[in-house]
Amino acid sequence: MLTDVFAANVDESKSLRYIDGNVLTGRQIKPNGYLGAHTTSLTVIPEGDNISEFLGFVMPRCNQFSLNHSYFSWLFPKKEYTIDARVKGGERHMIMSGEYDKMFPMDIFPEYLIKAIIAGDIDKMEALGIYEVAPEDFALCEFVDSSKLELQRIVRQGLDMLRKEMC
Amino acid sequence: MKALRNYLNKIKPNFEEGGKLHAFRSVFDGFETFLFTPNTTSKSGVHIHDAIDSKRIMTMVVIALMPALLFGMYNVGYQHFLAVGQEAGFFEKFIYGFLAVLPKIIVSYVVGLGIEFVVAQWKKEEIQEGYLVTGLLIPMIVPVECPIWILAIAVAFSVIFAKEVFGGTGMNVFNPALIARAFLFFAYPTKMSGDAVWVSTQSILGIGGGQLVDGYTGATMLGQAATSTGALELINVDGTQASLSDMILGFIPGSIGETSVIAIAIGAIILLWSGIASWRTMFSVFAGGIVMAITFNLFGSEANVMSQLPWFEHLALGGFCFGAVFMATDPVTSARTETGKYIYGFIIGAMAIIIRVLNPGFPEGMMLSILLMNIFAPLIDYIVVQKNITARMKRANLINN
Repeated sequence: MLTDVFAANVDESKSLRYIDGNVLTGRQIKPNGYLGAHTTSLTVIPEGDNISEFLGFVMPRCNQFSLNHSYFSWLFPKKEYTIDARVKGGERHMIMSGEYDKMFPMDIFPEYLIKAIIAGDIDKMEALGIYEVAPEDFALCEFVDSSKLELQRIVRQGLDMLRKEMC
Repeated sequence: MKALRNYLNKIKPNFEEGGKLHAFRSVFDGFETFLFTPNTTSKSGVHIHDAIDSKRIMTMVVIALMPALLFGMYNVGYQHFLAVGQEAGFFEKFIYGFLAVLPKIIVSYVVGLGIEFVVAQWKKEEIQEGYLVTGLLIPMIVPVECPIWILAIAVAFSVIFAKEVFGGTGMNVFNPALIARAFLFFAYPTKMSGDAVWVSTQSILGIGGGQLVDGYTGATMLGQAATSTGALELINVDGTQASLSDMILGFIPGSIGETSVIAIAIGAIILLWSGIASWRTMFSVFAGGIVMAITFNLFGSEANVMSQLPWFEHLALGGFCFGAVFMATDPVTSARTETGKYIYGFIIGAMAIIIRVLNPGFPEGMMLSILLMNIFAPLIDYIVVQKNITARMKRANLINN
């Protein structure tokens, strides 16, 4: 039973999120749920749904981790953060450019690939290299995205669309 | 803060589907997310998110604009007291400028945000915060004497026809602030250009006012250069010679926020360090401007005074710096690929100088050159992306054979 594993290891007084796998690509499970056959790790993070930060967009927010320098996490590279499951913003159209490129190692234009998938343009997806990626490759892009788009889900949809097209 | 949060939670049901105040849902939603960071948690994909969001980004841009805005207010007062030839203290000048500029900011925000709220309600979307920046940019790029009712029309025009018809923040083709300025420029040319609009000469709430000094001129430096026929002599509003330090510090007439290179440079540092504006765009706008100005210095006609203006004066005068730092770098309307940004920025800088020098009708070319390149940004990106596609095809063919 997973509850036995978690017992005495987690702070039950908080609302928590149990993840089969890691925080970037894992799958949310119930505290007494079951694991996949290939699971090698379990992660528990605070859910954070009871936190409401007053004027969060203008406060210094030194306890928040961000790769962007508009927060002060760059001042304390060794500081440890408790990151909860909040999205910390509303979903928007793509506004900032070049955010994904910094997180994406391959010679692909992630932003254009995502746009092609949203548009359902199969030729464009293939031309932009969708066969070279898996949804997990977009995990870091999704983490830094200031528009809070669900990139892994979008890429999954694109791949599913191609698979359906080929059958 | 807890009490406020509890109060919001209490009144929230009224604004939800079926509530009696449902018609104001977008307004409530806007205020709620403004006051408290939303605590929705991730549903799919990554379980943790970076703390950055578009509200934070827009706030950083507003903070970066502050030095230029505050200096602009001071300069409005400074130019006024120079024009009427009176001595005044720092605070008197600042308060005068503050009173002259504040109504413009209020009108810009009220009209623009009003339209945004209505559209968000109508489209059943969240309020988008892009206007927080646009609404501050618009008062900063108009002359101080631009009447408020005209400003309101321009704001309404640009928010509706430059932004909302395209689908809101993130979807617009043109920079909405520049569209507002272009609208003013072509629809009300007498209120946007010429010699009478750049310096406020009336008293405001009993502050300032008086007889203009002898030798007064209200023309901007670029306006003087464009109409000059003999040897170029740039003069201040009181008729004295303008020095290079006046131009760099910003004690010259011009649109409210554009005059001080120093204040804009502080904003540029904030934007570049936080990574919100692209250094590639900014750098290449300046590079384009410098290259083109030097080219004109070397090969331009002697008779054209503007072509003999040295490159550093081209950069320090008019809206060049302001455009390069705050307008060209708008991520939505600029080129979105990293290579594309170099090309996009370079042509903006070069084009701005070409318009200044070769078109006597427009002493300032920054606005038009940025708007022109807004149209071409998708084309530049297309070429860059297409190169990547061609390379991939080649590779695939190589493997197949």
